[in-house]
Amino acid sequence: MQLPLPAAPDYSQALRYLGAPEGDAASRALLERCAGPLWQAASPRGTARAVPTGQLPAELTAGREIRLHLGDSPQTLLFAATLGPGVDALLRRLAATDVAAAAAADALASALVEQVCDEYETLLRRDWQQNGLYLTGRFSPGYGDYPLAAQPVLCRLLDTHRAIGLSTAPSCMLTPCKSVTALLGIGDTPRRGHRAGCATCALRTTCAYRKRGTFCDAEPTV
Amino acid sequence: MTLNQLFDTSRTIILDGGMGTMLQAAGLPLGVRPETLALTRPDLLERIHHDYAEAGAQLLYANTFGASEHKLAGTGYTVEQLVPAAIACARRAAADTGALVALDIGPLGELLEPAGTLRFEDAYEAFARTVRAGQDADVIVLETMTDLYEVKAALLACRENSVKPVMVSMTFEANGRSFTGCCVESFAAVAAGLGASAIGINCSLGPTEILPLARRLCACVPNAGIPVFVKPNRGLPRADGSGYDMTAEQFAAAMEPYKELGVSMVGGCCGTDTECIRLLARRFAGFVPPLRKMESIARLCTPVRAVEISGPTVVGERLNPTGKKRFQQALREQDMDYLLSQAVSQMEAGAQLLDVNVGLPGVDEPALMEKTVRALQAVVDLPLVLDSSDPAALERGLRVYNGKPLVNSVNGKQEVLDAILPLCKKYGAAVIGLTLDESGIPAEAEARVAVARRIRDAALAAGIEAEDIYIDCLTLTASAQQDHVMDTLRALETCKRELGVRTILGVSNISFGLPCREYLNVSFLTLAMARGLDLAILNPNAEPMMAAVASYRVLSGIDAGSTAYIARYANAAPAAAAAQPGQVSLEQAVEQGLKSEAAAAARRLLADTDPLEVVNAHLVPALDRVGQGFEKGTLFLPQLLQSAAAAQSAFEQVRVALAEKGGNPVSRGAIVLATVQGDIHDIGKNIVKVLLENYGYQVTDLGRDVAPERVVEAVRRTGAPLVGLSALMTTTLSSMRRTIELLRQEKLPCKVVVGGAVLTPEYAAEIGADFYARDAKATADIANKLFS
Repeated sequence: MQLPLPAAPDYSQALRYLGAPEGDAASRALLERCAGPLWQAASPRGTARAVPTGQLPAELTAGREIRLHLGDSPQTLLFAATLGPGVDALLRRLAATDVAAAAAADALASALVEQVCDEYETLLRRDWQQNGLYLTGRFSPGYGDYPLAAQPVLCRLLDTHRAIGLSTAPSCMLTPCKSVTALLGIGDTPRRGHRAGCATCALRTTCAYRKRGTFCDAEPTV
Repeated sequence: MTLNQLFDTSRTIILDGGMGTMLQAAGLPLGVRPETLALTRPDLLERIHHDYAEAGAQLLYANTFGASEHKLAGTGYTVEQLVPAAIACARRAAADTGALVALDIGPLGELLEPAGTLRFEDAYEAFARTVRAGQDADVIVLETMTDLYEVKAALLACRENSVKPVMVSMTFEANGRSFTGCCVESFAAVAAGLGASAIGINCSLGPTEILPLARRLCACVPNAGIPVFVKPNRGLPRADGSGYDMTAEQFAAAMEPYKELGVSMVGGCCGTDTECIRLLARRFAGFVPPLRKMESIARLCTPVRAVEISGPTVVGERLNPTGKKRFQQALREQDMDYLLSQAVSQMEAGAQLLDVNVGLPGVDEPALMEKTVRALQAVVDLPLVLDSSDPAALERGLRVYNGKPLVNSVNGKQEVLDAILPLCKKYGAAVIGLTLDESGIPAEAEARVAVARRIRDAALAAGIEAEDIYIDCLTLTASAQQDHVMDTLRALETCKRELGVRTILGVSNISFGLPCREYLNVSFLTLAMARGLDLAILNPNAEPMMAAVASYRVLSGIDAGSTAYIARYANAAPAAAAAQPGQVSLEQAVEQGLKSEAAAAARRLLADTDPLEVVNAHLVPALDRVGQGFEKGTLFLPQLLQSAAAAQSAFEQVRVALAEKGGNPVSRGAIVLATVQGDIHDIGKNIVKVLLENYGYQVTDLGRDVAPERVVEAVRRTGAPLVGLSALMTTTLSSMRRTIELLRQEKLPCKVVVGGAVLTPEYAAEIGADFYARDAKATADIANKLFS
């Protein structure tokens, strides 16, 4: 389904992605310049489908952390969203002409896909809650020890190519690039799920946040 | 039922309904690949096909939608096992009614380059394999396509590996675009051009939502002999996922309005079943479709942009090496970034088509044409005019072009017509004919019209539609052949009126050898437009020329309400003096990230300073100061990048100055960069490239998703002492390892620096890299140390 574009860009998050968390005026102006074309280029879509957790193929429950996340949830919601290929095309064009704008638009697009996912998740959460069911948060391939190899399987089960134009490349990478897949547990009691920690993160030795003693999912400081 | 009857537009053909729907109703479990049923449950497939035939379907789509090597990977079955078996099921089911059987081909499920990593040629091969396995079918159907480039790969694979007619349908959203942005008009132009026997729309939407799209399709599919078909879903899916919102009766009733459009084949897609088809067949029994209401509009297109050639249309002329030393240098160095920047600037100036000429003594023009077309279509969405006299270069460009291009050019020489017109026909391109022949350019208008007539007749005979023929009556230079300037315009007018063709002129040639050329150019352009010029080849960055076109479109009533004119000029004072950038020094401009000021400052310096001195004494020290600020944390990546972009624009001035002098390009050393195979995240690599170029390195950027062999080849060719590899994903780190292994195995004496989000210094050492760089600045530092 078509998803709405958020009312306003998330500049703080984009500044963090851009490596300028303190948000000087020039960086902010650069991002503001990219927001219009990005909003023009984006055509967000999402699709989701509930499956009994017991019937999930083994590739989708590979790794300790995804099993912790789903816990005893009897059902699992398969989730995918994308900003569409127009954003990739915009980023390619900027990369050929203005590297600063390309980096800024890339960061803003990463923030945008998160915003789109959050809004879509809120929508789904409300629908399920009307039936007395609760969702965990999203847990995506690539978090902690959850392999990217889950991604193509998830896309096949959701038929994302047909439903929202989202595919995976042989390296398990999503195309269009600014896309997200995730699993959410569903059950009849409120549930928290599990957060991937630093211990199993691929970036644990080089992470700048960790060196500063903070976390990547801490609230932006702007 | 015969093939002739199937494609006879004076009768309505009933197609079948959804296969997936029927399989789900029969209890197909989650995750089972439906294509495998041809071997595991042939009885089930045969029963479903049989039920559709009984319901009235005259063409049965075999259950081969996903039977490609890509989608069957991991199932344990091959294309050659499943495809003939599936066709045999449909064939047995068709025995009673005499229905025809189609080899059904869906998308491969991966995105093609540039959006994804699947190469056009690999997509072609995958389709060709399915096509060869499906020779027992009567026709081939390509369906549910969302990517026009994939349609092209599939259609070429069908036409080159089979003699069967091909039906092709894409799937669109209610806004009239596919997921990849392709519009109905571009689809029709490309599918018809590549020889589809029927063109249609299926899936995604119900009959009501598809109706306006089908109306557009009926209007724009050229050639009344090509049937248009639709296979809608059974309405829209219910929100709770329990199926579709129409009853079979409602579905059939909603198909009624298609009768007046001239659609001659109807069926159903997702959610439709035998009952839908039975009711549909009853409703359309014996119905004779009217002729489609066709518009005769000439179009050239990319997937997202179908440019109607109605009224003067601007063709950007800047992608051409003639008389441009900087462009020639870029072609010799295969510097695609320079070509792309020229393309984008013309697009931003308002060009509607781009002429592309990469012919230069000493370059491999066919290879360069292909490379340039691929690079351009990844970045600009304007239709291209492929400009070459070399048939091999044209064919390489035509084959990989995503859309309907224009070929520049043929002329009245028989051998040229014989070599190039068949290429235009095969690849669905429009063509430009120059009014010259073995005896040169005729001086008199009448003689030029005679050549034009011969070209037109040859093009029509080759199967090219009249609206795809453009005649260039050739602009002669006023300074040398003043007497014949008006002959060009008279010939243009006659060709347009009497031959039913469209016209094109390269405008700027008129003023060659005279001062203030633009005055003459604008006047000549205006005269030509008044006589019916369709395509004007000019420099779109010359605003007076663009203003002449915009003005003409207002005065002739083409620009209704002057909307486009107002949009272009509402905020522009005519002939306002260009804003004078303050006299900022090059150092200041770079440190503050001011692009146009940096370029202006560089130009001022270059007037009396050696280009190398500008780089070493001004640019590099400024960049160093910015880099130090970045390292200390007093400024951040965005400022670093804006400084880099400013330095880049200054550097471009240095390159221009050197190219004009014929001197060697600046080079502190050669570096090869690549994002490794399987990975298309290249923002990091691009940042590194700009920084390195700013420091004066000669960077060969191989782009993204680069195979190890290509890196080795580039290092060998350039002799680069340093290679930079980037990877963003854990799954592509293995490609990085393989690339380094191959470099070592080939005993190339280069050092390797690696970077990317998931890399660590430990992993870099483990895979044999010489350096790990945590960011772009660190990479530049490594290079500066290595090359010092």
